[in-house]
Amino acid sequence: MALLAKIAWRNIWRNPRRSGVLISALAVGVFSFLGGIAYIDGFSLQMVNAAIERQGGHIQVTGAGYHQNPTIRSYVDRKDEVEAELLELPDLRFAPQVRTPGMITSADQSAGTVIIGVDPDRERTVSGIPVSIVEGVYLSTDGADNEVVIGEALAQRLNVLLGERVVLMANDLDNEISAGAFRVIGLFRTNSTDYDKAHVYLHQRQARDLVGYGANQVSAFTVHLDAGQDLSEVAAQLRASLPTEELEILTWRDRSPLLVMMSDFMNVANVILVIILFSAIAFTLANSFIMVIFERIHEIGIMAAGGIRPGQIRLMLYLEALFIVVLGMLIGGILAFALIVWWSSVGLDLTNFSEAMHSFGVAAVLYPYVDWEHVASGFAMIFIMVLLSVLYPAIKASRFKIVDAMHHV
Amino acid sequence: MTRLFKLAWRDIWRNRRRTFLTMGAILFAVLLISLASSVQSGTYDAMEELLVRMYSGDVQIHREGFHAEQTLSYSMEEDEIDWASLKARYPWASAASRRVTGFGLASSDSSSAGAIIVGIEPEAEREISIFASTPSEGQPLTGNRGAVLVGEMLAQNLGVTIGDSIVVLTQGYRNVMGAELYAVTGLLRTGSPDIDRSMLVMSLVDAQRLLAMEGRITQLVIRTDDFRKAVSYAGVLHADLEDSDVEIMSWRAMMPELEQMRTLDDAGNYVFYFFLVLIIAFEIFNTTTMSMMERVREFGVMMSVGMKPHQISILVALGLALKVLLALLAGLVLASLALGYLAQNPIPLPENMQEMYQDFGFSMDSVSFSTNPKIFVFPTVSVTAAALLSMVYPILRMRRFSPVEALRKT
Repeated sequence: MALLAKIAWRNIWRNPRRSGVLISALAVGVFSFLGGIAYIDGFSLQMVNAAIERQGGHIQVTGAGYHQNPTIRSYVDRKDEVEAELLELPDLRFAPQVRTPGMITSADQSAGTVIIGVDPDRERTVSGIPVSIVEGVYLSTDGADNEVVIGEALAQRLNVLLGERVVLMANDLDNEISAGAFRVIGLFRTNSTDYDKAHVYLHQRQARDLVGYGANQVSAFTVHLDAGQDLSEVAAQLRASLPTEELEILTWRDRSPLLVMMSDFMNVANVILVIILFSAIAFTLANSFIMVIFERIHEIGIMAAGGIRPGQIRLMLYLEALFIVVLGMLIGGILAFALIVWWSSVGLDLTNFSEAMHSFGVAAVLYPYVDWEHVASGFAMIFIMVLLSVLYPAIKASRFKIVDAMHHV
Repeated sequence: MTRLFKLAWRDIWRNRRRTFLTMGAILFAVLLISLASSVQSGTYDAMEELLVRMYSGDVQIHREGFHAEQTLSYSMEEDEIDWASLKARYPWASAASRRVTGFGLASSDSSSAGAIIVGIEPEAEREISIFASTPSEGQPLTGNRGAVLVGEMLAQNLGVTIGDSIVVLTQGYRNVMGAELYAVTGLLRTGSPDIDRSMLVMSLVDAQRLLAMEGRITQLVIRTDDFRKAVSYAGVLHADLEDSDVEIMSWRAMMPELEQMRTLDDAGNYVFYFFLVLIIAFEIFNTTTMSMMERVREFGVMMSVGMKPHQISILVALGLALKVLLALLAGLVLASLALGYLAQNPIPLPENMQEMYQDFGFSMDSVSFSTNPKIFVFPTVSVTAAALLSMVYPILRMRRFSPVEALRKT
């Protein structure tokens, strides 16, 4: 065995060009696989997350009955206690929100809208809106002035410019219409014009005044998870630590069947893409290994003539393949790692591909995401594929009649 | 040249295993990329059709500025557009309906909410769109006065259901205030939150009265014989109606998000195809380089009997080009066959997905494949380009061979 390993190792370096071809085939395969999968995972994560965020976050903690009938009447009554509980859980990103349907009116136009009162500092940790500001600024921490941030598309529809005044109207808890005047300090643009047309953000304090909430009342806590956190696990934790009789704790899967459908669709599509990628890699690897081994039939014949048994020849070929796989994976892995690190820092701006993407704002910049489970299964698959592609030529080569093999050119 | 061609042809069949492996890789790539883009393109096509049928219609005519501002000051006379004569002149214009769209505040006993008010001609609208003709509960509009269909989520937010009544307050044309009482006769569930969350549908006459729009409309919605041609149809109408102060928009112009989503996905796919084509290119490069290595001796023999290095380069290039061409053709033929087969025997969507679609008012029972020839362009171009690029290095190497050295090589 040790001797065979030595022979196999030397064989690899005896013909550097041939080994180079194999190792580079593997490296390119691993590189493409890792790059491709990081891209696919990143893309779907980003799309689904953007949609989840628009729907109110991965998990929403609201007053009981809110999902069925989202009015201001179902609310979280003891905000501070819930907040304290949420802070207990490690690494949870969450933000309180006051949400109500209402009207926004400018000097000459009005439109129905969803009014969202936020805690600007907390909101920054969960929401893409603060970084999607295309003009002006996001809400200030204290919300001292009556300031609002609205969608760019809504501003166009209302004919308001940055710095101009708008009036927000909503029903309060006594079913009276209440109104307040605000100044537009920022315009945002997400990848959904529909969303931009129908949402207005302001400080939670003023939103409370609008709907008649006390200082300790909010409509919802929106909870956002990082890619590694398990949705149902965190939801279960929350249900265990919060009073469930007065609160409703729903994940996005519970709340939005349409989004679940979209995300399932995406997963199916991703599986198809990964299969396509793997098929191509499998072909390349099988091709290279088969060709290389058949090239060496003459040499294998000589070894056999020298008394090496077919089983040993097979083992030797496997050992060679193993060395090559390890080297190739190492090189491909390092290259892919470098690519992903670079890519994570700069992002991939899809507007380079198409002018039409400009309307997406920051959503057009894609970042890769490394799902270690996918990476590990990818490595395992490539490994298995190599073993399989060596199987056929190795068996065939070790069974050649010695004389035939030596005559083979 | 003919002789070289013959030699190249023989070369590729001399080592069948290698030829088949290379060709298999190319064929596979072409087939898979074609099918993937077909499925994607087909799904988008189906979705676009559903959305056009849902609400927007193929083409809309409205006063210049209405689409951007959505206010009643951009309305027009009921008969400003002479539909009968348009229909007579353009055989593709198959149906039209008039709408009034405005905003208001809908109130029930318990709460109120902002709403989009849409007045339609129930009979004509059936030809154009499905949003109002198939309520999830209750009856479609008949033209009776005082009846409204309410978006399901809006009804929920108002706490009303069929049989209840609601009051709608509006600021109508020329800021005339309006208030009317309506009976809820049906609920709408379209899956589009925009409609379900905020829409109130009533007959055109009711809406005209509520919004002080007697004799006026906001949109004329047109159905054509082929919604895919809506952009050019809109162009024709635009030229025809140039003198009047109207704007003509195709569904593409009205729903830019659709185009955006498709573009995003397409752009995303190119990134993925980049990695795929990288592998294919490398595969071709690999095979070429290796077969060069294997055939050094053979080339040495050929050169010693008088073949020039450039002829050998041509020979190798020809052989490779033949392989690529054959594989490409085979891949395209196979992809077309597969698509033809799938058109006859569609793959049904899983039950639960079908139900989910039905819940949202769509009827989609199978995976949609596009047979638009455009889907073959990308695989053809990218695979050919990859093949050509990967040939460069091995062929350049060829030029440095000397026969003696080559012959010595084993």
